[in-house]
Amino acid sequence: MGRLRYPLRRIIEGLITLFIVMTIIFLLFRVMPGDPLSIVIDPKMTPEVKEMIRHSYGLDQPMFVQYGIYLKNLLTLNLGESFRYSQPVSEVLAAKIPNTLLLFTSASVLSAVLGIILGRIIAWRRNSKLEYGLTLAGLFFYEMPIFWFGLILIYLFAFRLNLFPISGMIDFELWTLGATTGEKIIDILHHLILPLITLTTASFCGMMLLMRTSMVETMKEDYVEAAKARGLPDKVVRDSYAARNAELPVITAFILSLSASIGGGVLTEKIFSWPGIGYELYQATIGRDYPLAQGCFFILTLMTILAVIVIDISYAYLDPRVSYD
Amino acid sequence: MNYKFLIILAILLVLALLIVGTNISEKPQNNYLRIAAGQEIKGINPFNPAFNDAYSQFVISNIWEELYRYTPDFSDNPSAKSSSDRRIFPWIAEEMPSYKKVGDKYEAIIKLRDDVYWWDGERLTADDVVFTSNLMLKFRIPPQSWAGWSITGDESYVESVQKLDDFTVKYTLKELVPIFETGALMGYIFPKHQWETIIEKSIENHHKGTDKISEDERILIASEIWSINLGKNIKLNEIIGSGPFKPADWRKGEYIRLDANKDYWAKGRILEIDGREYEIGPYIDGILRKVYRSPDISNLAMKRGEVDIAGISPSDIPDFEKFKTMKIEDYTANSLFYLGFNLRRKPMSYLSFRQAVSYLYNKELLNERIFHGRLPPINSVVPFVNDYWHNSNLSKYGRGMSTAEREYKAYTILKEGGFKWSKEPGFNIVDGEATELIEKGEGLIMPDGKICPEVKLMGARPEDAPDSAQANIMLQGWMLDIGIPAKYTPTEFATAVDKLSPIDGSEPDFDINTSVGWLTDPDPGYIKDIWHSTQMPEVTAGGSNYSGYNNPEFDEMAEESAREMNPEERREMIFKLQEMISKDLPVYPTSTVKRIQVYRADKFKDWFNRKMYGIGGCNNPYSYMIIKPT
Amino acid sequence: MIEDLLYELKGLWGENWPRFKANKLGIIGVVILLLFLFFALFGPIYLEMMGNSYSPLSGMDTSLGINPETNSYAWPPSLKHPMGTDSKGSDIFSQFLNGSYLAFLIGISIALGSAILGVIMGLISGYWGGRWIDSLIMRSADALVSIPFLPLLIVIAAVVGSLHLFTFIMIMMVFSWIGVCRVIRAQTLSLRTRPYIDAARVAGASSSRIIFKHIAPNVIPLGFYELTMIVGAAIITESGISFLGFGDPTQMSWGMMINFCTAQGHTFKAPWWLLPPGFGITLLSMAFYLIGRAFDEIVNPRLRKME
Repeated sequence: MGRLRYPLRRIIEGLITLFIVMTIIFLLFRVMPGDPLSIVIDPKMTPEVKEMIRHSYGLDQPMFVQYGIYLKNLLTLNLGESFRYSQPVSEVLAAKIPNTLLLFTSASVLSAVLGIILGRIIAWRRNSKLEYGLTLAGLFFYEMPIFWFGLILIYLFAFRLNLFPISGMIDFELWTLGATTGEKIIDILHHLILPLITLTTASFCGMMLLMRTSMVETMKEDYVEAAKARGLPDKVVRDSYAARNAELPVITAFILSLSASIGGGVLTEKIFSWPGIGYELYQATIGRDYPLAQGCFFILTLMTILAVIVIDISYAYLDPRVSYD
Repeated sequence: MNYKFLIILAILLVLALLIVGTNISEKPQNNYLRIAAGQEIKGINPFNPAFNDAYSQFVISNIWEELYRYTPDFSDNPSAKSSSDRRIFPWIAEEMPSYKKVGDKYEAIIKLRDDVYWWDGERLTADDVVFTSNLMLKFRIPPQSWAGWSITGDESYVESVQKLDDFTVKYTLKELVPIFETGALMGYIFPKHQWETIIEKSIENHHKGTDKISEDERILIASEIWSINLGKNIKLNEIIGSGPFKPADWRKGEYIRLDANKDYWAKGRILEIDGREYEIGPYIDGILRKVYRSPDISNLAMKRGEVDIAGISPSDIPDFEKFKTMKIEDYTANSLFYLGFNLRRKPMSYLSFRQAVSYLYNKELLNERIFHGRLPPINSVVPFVNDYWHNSNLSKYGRGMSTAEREYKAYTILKEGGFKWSKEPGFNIVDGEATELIEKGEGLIMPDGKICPEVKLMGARPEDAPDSAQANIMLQGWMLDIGIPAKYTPTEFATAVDKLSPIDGSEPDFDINTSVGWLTDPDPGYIKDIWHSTQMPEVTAGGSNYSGYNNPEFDEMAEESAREMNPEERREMIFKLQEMISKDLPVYPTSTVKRIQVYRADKFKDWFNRKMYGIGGCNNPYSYMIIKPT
Repeated sequence: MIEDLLYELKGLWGENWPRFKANKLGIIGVVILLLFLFFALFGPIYLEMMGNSYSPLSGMDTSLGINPETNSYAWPPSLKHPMGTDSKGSDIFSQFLNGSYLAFLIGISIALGSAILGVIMGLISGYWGGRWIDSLIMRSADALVSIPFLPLLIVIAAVVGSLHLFTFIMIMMVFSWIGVCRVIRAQTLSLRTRPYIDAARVAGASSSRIIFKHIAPNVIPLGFYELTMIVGAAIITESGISFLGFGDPTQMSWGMMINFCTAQGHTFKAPWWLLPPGFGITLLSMAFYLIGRAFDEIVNPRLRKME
């Protein structure tokens, strides 16, 4: 019973957080300048008709009633109708979420693996030239504005070397004029490479430094010292004793980076015109497609909160050193 | 915890990417014209007022067609001698309309061609024309075309439409006005057999009782029609039009594909353009319009052969001149940008202030340094490309003057107008000419003795219009130099429209507007539609006289010009209207738009570069009909 | 009380500087930081000296002709313009200097603001706060962390037109104090039960004295690492927002430079325009990170024992 209480508490806390965030968003979208219906309402309509249309959107209700309807709609995932697509927001999002997940999951996996491998190496060789070099280089990429780096990569690899497509996720011509499924998969992967390289290069360093710190810590543990004392080869000690226990925080960071990168993905998606949620949010905001912008925001927040909860709960189960009351 | 799973995933991913990197599939060969577009189209429902933008019209104008059109090169049509505009020629109609005066009314007889077919094989007949005209008269849809059907704004000058026989239509007019030809007869014709049932159903839904359809019911019906989602409620391949291209595939925000109508009714018809004769096709397989969000990316796509035509910036010309396969052409669009003053507020209500700001705005310098030739200066609200109606004898407000000279001039005008400063701006004056501003002015005091409030320059955001943002920064700098407390406030476009013309009919909320301009019609009737005093947003909700220009003399002349059928007489009046605006300065016209296009001359030939066509140049419906793959 | 705090901090400095000096990466950070600090301080003087035509926003060199390579007024570096000019003939070096100044302004003010907020919140939560206040603060911190930040900024920017620099700084502060607050709270909680604090309390010391004399000096250095991270994040976020076009166009920040470069279609033809602001952002935020990390290794007891 005690084991179940903690996850339950976290989930309830998560729900409260979601509630707070959604309230903020509700207020935010209500103070936006201009009438949210200005796209729908014809200026030449008489006041009575405007009122009727307002009524059909529920905008003539008092604020708290609107708020209630809004919460109810969120609960039922009824996110309204997008102005731009003339299509339910949930449908638009359902089409975009896989694109975003494809890009950011693969990037997170790659950078986690790269980070773990490099982190192990530099932790083992502390204060070597290699450590300084890798840390500096990694940090340089880590602190780069990702859109700037993306532009440079597009310049080098797409423009100068002509290796990859410049933007988008698919070749429109290929898709609209008929292509086999195999060709389509290859086409998507081909478009994926450049944004993937950008994201991985920019984020492996976080993992690497974390792995290093975590590894340095575990290396001080008694059992690692003992293993060393027994005369086991360095590589074995490093990989089987030290590294294995150092991975926990890295895996955590991996899940967290997934959710964080999705939120911060607006810039990457914009540079590469990647048709994901971030790009959609950006465009919906610019085009004043409030229902869609609100929907994108809701999904992004939901993802972040879920990720945090998953981490906290798995931490409680997996790491005996962490105890929660 | 084990990360082997991650490693396996990563290895698989890298492998997949390696395979792909070395195995780039060849694209199928085809004769689709691929266009690089900077913006997505909003929608293709021709009844939706929100889809009246040039980009959506790009698609819509290839689907449905009009009775009459402007000649492709805007040359005079010999058979249009008795028309209010000689640049009109018949498209679906057989010949120019013939008029007859009956009592105090007029009758216009339109003969239709008998060889026009809808895509589903049905003939386009007088029934379709009567049906479409009645849509307008009864329901005012499409709403954006209403201006062409009415002079007063409420009542139409068209009394009724009648079918005389299958290919003859009679319009009964209360008065004969130029806008009948350039407006009413230039609207799209829709197939009765597709839309009649939809509209009848909508009437059933909203119209209660048997008496006349009320105004509110009309609006409900109209808004139901324009919210029909073409592509979903009506599938793309179910849309019926008569034009040369059919919509085939559409991924919103990414691309739209139009396939050629192989049985186009006008196929083989001869089109005379710039003295050369062309046989109408279409000869290409279709049009693929791809959206590229940044100019750099679209340029790259052009260079790599992913598109066949793209718009470029003047600074890209040398890059593209290196490609022997490409040709570069430019055209001037009929856009109108201006500084709009809110005459309801001080200090904009002082003519001297408006003149001073006009002198300060160095449009020549901005065009050279920031717009790189993209926004040529204009002095009239009729852009010079519309040469028949453009008045070229208007004040040029300081053309050729340096920045210092302009600032000195503005300072002098303000001073003469009664403005004072707590600290006057200081100029270095050599031989009576200002060479340099030495000291910035401070504390401007208006003629009424009050301190000049902050003047907000409501301009586009850098994201929406980067050039215009920089121009606003420059203007702000110049105004600050002589002590006008100016502040550039970036405003998103839709918000700006709300502020200029609040939909609840309240007074506009802005000081100086630089963000919203117009894409003007070839017919100058828009001058009246924009600046007539009844068009003030507080008088007519949604009106476009944002400045609040109220000049009875102007109103009278504008109304008179809207009724003058003789083009020469009308031209005189239109010239006077332009003069009045230039003198009274409710708006100060700043620039029009010059666009440069590069296209693949090795892949398609017979391009036709059309002037005065919104987004066009080589991207115009006539081009698509006549270009041939090489 | 404040003097107590300063005294303690000074002691901390004297004790830790030698250790810091030994950290090579930290020293690299300090060198880069000093370089940019020079730029930022030197910038206004330089701009004042060069006059109106070098103004980062509206200045332009009227003597320039069109560069046939770019077909605009964008010229590569020369003696007159050490970093070249942009497409309207504005000096990029002045813009770059102005950008360094803005980066420091943005970074430091946000870091200071959120430090003050974070320390106060952390101490309240960890020392004074009862269960209620503590959980209220921590829950709102959780909520703030869960909001995808950049998307939120974009939405806010859409609400207010574009983000005025001051608005941006305020919003960043509201979102940045959490890290500091958590560190301070955790340390305060553990310190509170230490015997010497108990002793002070028994001896009749007031709460505020205990906090400023005994707890704050031990806790504040730990927040320093968080602060340097905030500076970096602030600079990068500002550039991202400006790049998207939601920034303050009346301030020529590094992000705005990249935005203008891209918007003018010069991304691929004027590297002298695209590269400096990007390097500025990268190096400066990296410098802060390096310093923060070096500092952390010294003061963080968890890491210190590994030396």
